[in-house]
Amino acid sequence: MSGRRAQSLPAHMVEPAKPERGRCVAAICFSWKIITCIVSHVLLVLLVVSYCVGGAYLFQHLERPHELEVKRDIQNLRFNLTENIWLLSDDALVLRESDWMANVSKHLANFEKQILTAIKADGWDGDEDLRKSQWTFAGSLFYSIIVITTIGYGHISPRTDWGKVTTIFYAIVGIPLMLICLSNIGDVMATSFRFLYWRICCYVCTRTAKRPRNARSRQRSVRGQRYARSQPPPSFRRSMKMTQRSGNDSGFGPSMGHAHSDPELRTMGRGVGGGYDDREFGHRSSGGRNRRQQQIAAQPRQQRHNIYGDEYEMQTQTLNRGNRYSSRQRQRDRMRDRHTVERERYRHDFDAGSMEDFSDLQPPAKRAASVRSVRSPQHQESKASRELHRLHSAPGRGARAKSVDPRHVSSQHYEDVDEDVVRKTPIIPNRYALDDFGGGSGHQRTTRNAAPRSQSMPRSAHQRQRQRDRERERSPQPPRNAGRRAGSLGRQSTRYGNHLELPDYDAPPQGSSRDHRRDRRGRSPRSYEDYVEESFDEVSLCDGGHYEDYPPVHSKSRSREPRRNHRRRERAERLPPSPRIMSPMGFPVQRQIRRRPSYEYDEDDSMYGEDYGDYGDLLPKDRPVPIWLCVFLVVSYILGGAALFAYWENWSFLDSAYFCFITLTTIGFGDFVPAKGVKDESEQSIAYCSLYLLFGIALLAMSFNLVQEEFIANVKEVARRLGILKDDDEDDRDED
Amino acid sequence: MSSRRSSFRRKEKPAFQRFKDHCRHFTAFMFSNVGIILLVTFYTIGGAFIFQAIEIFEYERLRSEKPHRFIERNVSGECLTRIWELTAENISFFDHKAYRKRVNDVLLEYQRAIVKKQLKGPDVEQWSFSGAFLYSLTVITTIGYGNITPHSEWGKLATILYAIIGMPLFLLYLSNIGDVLAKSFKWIYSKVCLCRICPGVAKRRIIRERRKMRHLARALQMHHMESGGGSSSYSSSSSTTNSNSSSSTDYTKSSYRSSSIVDVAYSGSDSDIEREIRGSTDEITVPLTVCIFVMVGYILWGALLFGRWEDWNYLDGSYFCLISLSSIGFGDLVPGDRVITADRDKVEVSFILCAVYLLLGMAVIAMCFNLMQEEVVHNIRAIKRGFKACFRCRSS
Repeated sequence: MSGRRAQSLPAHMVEPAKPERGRCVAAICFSWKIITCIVSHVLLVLLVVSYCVGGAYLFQHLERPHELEVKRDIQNLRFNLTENIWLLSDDALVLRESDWMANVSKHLANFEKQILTAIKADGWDGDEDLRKSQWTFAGSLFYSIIVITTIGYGHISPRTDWGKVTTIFYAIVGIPLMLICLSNIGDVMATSFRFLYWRICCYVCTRTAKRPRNARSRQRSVRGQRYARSQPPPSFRRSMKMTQRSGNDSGFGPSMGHAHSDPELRTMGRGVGGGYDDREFGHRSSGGRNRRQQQIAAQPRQQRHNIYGDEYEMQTQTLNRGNRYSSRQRQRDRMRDRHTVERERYRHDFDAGSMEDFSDLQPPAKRAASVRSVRSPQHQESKASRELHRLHSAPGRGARAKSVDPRHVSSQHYEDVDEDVVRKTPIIPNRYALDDFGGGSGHQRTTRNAAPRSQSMPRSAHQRQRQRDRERERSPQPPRNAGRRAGSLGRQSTRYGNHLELPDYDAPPQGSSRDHRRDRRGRSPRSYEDYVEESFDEVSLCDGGHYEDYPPVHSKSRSREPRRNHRRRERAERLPPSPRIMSPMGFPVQRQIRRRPSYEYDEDDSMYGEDYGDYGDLLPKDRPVPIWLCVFLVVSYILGGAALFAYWENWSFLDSAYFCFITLTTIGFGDFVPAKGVKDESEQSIAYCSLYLLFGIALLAMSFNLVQEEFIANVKEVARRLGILKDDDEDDRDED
Repeated sequence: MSSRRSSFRRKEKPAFQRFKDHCRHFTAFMFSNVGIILLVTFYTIGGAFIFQAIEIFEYERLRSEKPHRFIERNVSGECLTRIWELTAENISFFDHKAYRKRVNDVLLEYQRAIVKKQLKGPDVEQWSFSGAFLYSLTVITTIGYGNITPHSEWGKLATILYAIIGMPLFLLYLSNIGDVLAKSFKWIYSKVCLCRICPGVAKRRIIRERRKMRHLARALQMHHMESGGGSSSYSSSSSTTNSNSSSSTDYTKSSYRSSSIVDVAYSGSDSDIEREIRGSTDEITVPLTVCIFVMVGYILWGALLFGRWEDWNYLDGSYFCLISLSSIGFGDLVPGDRVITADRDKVEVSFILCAVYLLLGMAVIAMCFNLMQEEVVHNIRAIKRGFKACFRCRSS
């Protein structure tokens, strides 16, 4: 399998109708990726740094002369006063105390007033030494940082008109720049921290962690981390949702559905997943064995009155299972590349998560696929697919249909592996650039993988279609009650399958599948439309890329669509990096992003919202680090900073903590400013402080980034219980 | 969000339902927006009382414990006496240089005393109610002028706690009010700038787009006929029509959705278009220039106002407004600074006005960012659509 895959990779590059465009797009995507990588990390930081340095020079140039002038003025003022007093005393013929006193006190009052003016209006710091200046290079740099982080201590502020004008424009440009940079850094830090956390902290407890997490997902049903692995919770939840959603579907208790679906699916999945390993190494030769496996796997299904719905669910399950298995397999292959053992576990979860994500994103995918299918409905059948077809035609229909799955699974998982690589590519703070780029690169990758997987699909899909039709004809009278339940459950999951789960990999072609679904489910088309459009609304921001690529072979487009969608979703979910506390300017940017999903959630009341709540936990890299850890991190950072500043600046500990808090929240009163007391080491302490606050703000961004998904999910859950009206309030408040 | 949703669904509902929807959304509005304004206001006022109480209490306590710190030294008097002594004692020989040097030293000392007193920061006098109000406002908005700062330990602790609760609250306020403002601004913009001037253009645009969609839909339908093995029914094709149309246009999408359920296949009737024009408020994006213009206008207006209240010049006023609204908050210019000793009432008024200006201004800026982002997203989408069309042309 892998060998074939390797073959088909280059083949695929040449294969499509417009190979030159494929290469072109590939080149564009590759260069775009590199460019964005550079832009996102190095260039952005460099930009901010150079912006700060440039600002430092600028402000130094603008403000320093004025400051020195003020100092000179003060000196002159005092000398003048001395001179006046001397003249007063000298000129007086008779030195009478009362007259002299009156005169001099007048002068003194004037002098005091002038000093106060100098302090207030001209920002004189009370120091007369011309060699020392607030607006040294270090001071100006600090000032620039203070401005663009919106901390604004105000211990030095521009006093000249030009300085003020410059500050205004400097802030207008610099603040968004800084926000972008910080969110970028925060994102990177969040990713690495999450990785570190799961690698270091949880590697040991990998085995033991499974059970609790399972239990958690079972009981809470929002945490869908083990979604695919522990299928029960979703089915439980979904059937519940379904029952509440469309009454005509089933009146069966959710737990019932759960009970029925679970064991069956598990066995199915295991059977097919087990067979998968062989297939990976020699697909052609192991056909017989596959068939055997599949027949075994198919047995339970035969027992339960082949209701078409079962198949769907089963396949879903199969996919999930096989995916996991295959990921392990693949893992072994690639181990020496870069994957470590615990990463495997990661991937593991990731696969599950990705599956779940696919299921979320199915409808837009379908739609996009159908759109594309207008353009080129024809599909090329490669030798491989023909081969596969031959293989398929041998066993019974069910097995045949199923035998397609592992292939999908394999390529699917292959993609997953790649996905992991993709996830390593830099995060771009700029959402729009991110979307652009992500759409391009993601689809690039997927197209490469799409060829081997999908070529056999239409045929199998048709077969399935036919089979389902036949099944429909004969199935409707199940003898047992339980069977009936299972059937209805299957139907439910069929709908899910079309909607949320991923059977579209091997599902019948678009229009007909939709048809069937509509016929069978009797679900109101309206909600589906809503759903589709809503989801499209969400992803439409980023879906530009996939239209630009290869001439879409129908099946190919369908099969690779979910992947892209998945990427999209994941991107959308990681979109809000979080300079939340930075400033009100940073806020609405995020707010907007967040609005889409929640709005969508509002629209499509139950199922999508629920899944939206889930997705945060699904991907390994997006798996939440516990909130307490982030809080602990931030608090300890503040306290550590407090200790350091207390040591450096000889403040009391409370003052230092207060200073750190005020700084990191960007309030910046400026009543405590480093390097105010110790003038000699001002540069050093300014450097310390700048580093501290830059890193601290990035840390805050990071912890928000880490926490927000889980937090939002939690809050959404709570809010949903409270009712929709309170929903927005709740999650907004806690999101900050 | 909720009202946006209502506008999507409103169209096919009967009048009574619509009225009910309106009522519900009005309640939601009251709860989410007016409520949050009140909440922020009361939170700020409460914070003002708390901080005032804490600071004054601590000040009194400190004064009773360590009274020597609070004895006002008559610095200028001391200085005067010393100079006089100097003069009187040196009157006999009158060494010009020595005398000047010594007088200068005395003056330097005096000057340092003044500076020290000035830079030591404001005393408890500043913790009037309005000052405390401004202080708590600057805390939760993260402006942090720093003209008034807590000096007691309890004040600092209270500030930290207050900020932890207050800042999310304020951000919630910002997002809510920003949304509301954005919506109303968009509405006004659509009414004033678009609908009055160019309803015909809008209509024509919609018709054009529909034609395009119908083409697409027909193609889709044909495709489904062949790919679905003849099993594609009318409903499926119509549904693809809708989904497809929404993919190719996004600002007519919502109305399409609503209309699609009722009258799926047919489109292009006048009433439909009317409906679309009427319901298109949500999809209108306000151009970037307008947003920037609004922001600049607000800042300049603030400059004007503060110039009048505080006797600042225009540059200082705009500088202050920008520094405040961007939450930098240097604190070199603070409202009520000049008049703080002169007139108590005026201080209060300017503090309150400043607070109102800040609260409103931050919401306005949030609104503008909202709108600008929408616009940018919309533009990017359009660009992508252009790309898409490009590639599609070439591929087919």
